[in-house]
Amino acid sequence: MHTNRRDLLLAGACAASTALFCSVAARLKAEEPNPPPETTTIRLAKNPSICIAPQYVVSDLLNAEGFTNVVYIESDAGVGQTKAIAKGDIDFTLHFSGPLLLEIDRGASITVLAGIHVGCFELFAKEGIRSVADLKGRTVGQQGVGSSPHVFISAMATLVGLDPAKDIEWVTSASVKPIELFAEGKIDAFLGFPPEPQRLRAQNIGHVIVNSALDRPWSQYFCCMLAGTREFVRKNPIATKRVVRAMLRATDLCVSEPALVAQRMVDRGFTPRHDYAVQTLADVPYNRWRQYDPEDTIRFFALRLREARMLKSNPAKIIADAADWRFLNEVRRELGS
Amino acid sequence: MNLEADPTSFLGQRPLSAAPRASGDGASVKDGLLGFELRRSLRTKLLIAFFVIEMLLVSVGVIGLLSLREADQRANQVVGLQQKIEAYRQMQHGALRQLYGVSTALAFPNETTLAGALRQINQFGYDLDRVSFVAKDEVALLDQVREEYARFIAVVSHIVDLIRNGRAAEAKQSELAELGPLADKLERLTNQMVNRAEADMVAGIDASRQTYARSQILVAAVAIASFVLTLVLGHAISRSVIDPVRIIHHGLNRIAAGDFTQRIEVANRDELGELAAHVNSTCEELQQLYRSLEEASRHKSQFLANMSHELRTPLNAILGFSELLLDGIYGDPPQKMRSAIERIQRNGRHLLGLINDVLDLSKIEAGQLRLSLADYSVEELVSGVYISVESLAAEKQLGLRVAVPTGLPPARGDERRLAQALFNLVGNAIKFTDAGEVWIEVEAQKDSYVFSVRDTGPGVDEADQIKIFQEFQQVDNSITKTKAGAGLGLAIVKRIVEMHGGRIWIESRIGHGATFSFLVPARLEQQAMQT
Repeated sequence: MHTNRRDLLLAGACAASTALFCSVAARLKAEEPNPPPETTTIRLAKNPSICIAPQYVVSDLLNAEGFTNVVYIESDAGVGQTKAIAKGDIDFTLHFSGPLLLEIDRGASITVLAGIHVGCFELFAKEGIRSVADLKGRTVGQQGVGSSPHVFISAMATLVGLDPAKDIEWVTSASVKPIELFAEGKIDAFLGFPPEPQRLRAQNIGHVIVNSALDRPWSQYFCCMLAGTREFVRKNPIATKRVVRAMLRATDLCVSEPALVAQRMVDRGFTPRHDYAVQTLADVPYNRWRQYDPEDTIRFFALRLREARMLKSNPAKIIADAADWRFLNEVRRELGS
Repeated sequence: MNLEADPTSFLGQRPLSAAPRASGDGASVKDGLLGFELRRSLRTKLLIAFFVIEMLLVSVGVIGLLSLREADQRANQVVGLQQKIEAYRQMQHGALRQLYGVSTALAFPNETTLAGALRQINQFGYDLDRVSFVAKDEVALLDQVREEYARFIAVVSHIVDLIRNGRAAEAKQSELAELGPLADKLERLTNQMVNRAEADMVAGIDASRQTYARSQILVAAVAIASFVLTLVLGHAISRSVIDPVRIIHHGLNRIAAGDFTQRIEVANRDELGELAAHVNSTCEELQQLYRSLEEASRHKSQFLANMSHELRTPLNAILGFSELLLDGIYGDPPQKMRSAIERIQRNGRHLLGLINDVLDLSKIEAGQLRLSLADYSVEELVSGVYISVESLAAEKQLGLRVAVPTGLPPARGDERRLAQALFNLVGNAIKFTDAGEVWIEVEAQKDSYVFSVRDTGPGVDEADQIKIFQEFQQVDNSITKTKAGAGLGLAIVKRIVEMHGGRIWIESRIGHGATFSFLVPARLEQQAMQT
């Protein structure tokens, strides 16, 4: 068997990452408080988006929290994921708050538990489009109505005075992904989420007109948040708290050990491209969950989506009905700042 | 308002005796719409109904005013929130401008830019003070802003000191490590304040919409309820008034028709109930009076019948003996005596005719005249009358014509009385006609015969045409005064025709003669009720 230097490095990295996860898990095991979680099974979503890296590396931490059976259920990165959690097919997910709010507004039993990270979306556009206002009358690709790109672009368009329903020509293709349409020049703009922005940058396709990790006001609010089914949260408060804790620890790992987390995602089949995973972990700010206020994120996006007439409930009602920060506050105290 | 215990409920009805209601009537009937009892008074009922309607109108008005007040409060609340948002936005803008100013000053540090940055920091402090006046409900958040702001000032001051002391590298390090995150946090906090205020305003707008929708539903519900209740009240009131009036009206019609047996039953205990009671009381008095009158009339008729009978006996003797005298049984009377006897006989016959008429009328009125129903021939009836009056017409040189269809089927009725009726009409026609002709005509209709007597006499004035069928009534003119008659003939004809279930009428114009007609059923199986 031929072994080259890259293989050796990879093997070393794997060994190191395994050791690191094992050490974190062991520490958790040691500090595991009683009583045990009400359930030992946790179902999480799995989709092509890799900005939710903490979700993909959380399984070991969940095991350490007492969950012996961590199941990843395939779902798309858009509407399917919110539907799945609304139906109770998955217990927890990391997802952009916009689609979650739409589903909550329709009466879905979803509880938002914490903000995880900021700014994973980047709005790419053709030459000649310099701002969101320039999208008026342009074609914009999306996966479907209510998908994360659709919701995010609608919020951005509303903020600059556009009517997303009338002023933007939405292009939805079931067979071809929006990124492919954009790469082929068939649409004018496209909102990508990791690893799509990394790929477009690598291929030098289009240019970014909004980067939600850097550009205000989007950079001031969480993008992906941890949400669970309301029934699970109500019935399993201990398990819920442990999930929140594990997820936030996994988020911290994304900051402290991005290379290892990237390797882990590749090893476990969540993404094929290690380089894109590394770039994503470098681009997305995973270090904000302690400083940012998740409630204000819900309030902000609820206001924007209501302005876009996509939401009927007011922010106060959504927060009252579908937000529960008790677990986050406890975990914040435990994990410190 | 008279609200007190009373056996009659509001708008309720129950039978009322003819006598005024005794105060001790203990029967309690609670069939009123509103379930409470009232003193009997139509005015009270109407007042209560109008009071209820007015109360409903007032309640609609009050609800409307309350809704308006709530809407006004909501609007004021939204305006207040808008002002708060404006203040927060100003603070947000101030914070951004300040952060920009500080970063510019630190990028190109000299005494002027540094002094400017410190001035801007103070300006932001002024904005904060202004916001603290507005944001009473967000004190904690504002305190956090103040805290971060104090830290920010401290860091900026420290950096400015470092720059002024020529320690630019340390200043840069401090700016990157401390000032950046602090500025970020300050910005987020101000954003948070704006978002909160906007969310409050959105919630206020939602509440305002809900209030509006609720008010709409409430006002509509009260309006519909008022409408329904008003209809129910109107219906109840109208029933309470119209039904008794209708019952009283029918009762009065019965009384007018001579039926005193049935009582007017009105359940009201109000003025209408009293009216019904009075009508019943009057009806009883009328009934007694009518009975007395009937009795008196019967006695009168009986007396007349008896008297007529008693008068006829000696009168027949007078007529008979006078006829014997004229026939010369007791020898030929001298011419002067014959003339006197003839007068006696003529007047005696006239008197006998009168007595017979009175006797007939008396029998009819006394209910003693009974029709003898049998089959008869109309042709023979008319022929008999013709023969009886032929000589009278001939005496006055009047033409007497008869027109009766041939082959008429046999009729059924009292032939003798019908002949009497026709005879009276023809006799009158001959009596009052001085020249011309008298026609006797019969017309067969579907189930009846119409007998007509037409003359070329002076005619009857329209005003007298009804009067002449009443007893002892004659047309009062120079012609009738010259003709003998007691005014009983037409009355008897009318009674006979009516006993046959028929009717009589006259068609006449002054100077153009008259046509008297009567219609009788072709076949009368049972005598009609006498009127």
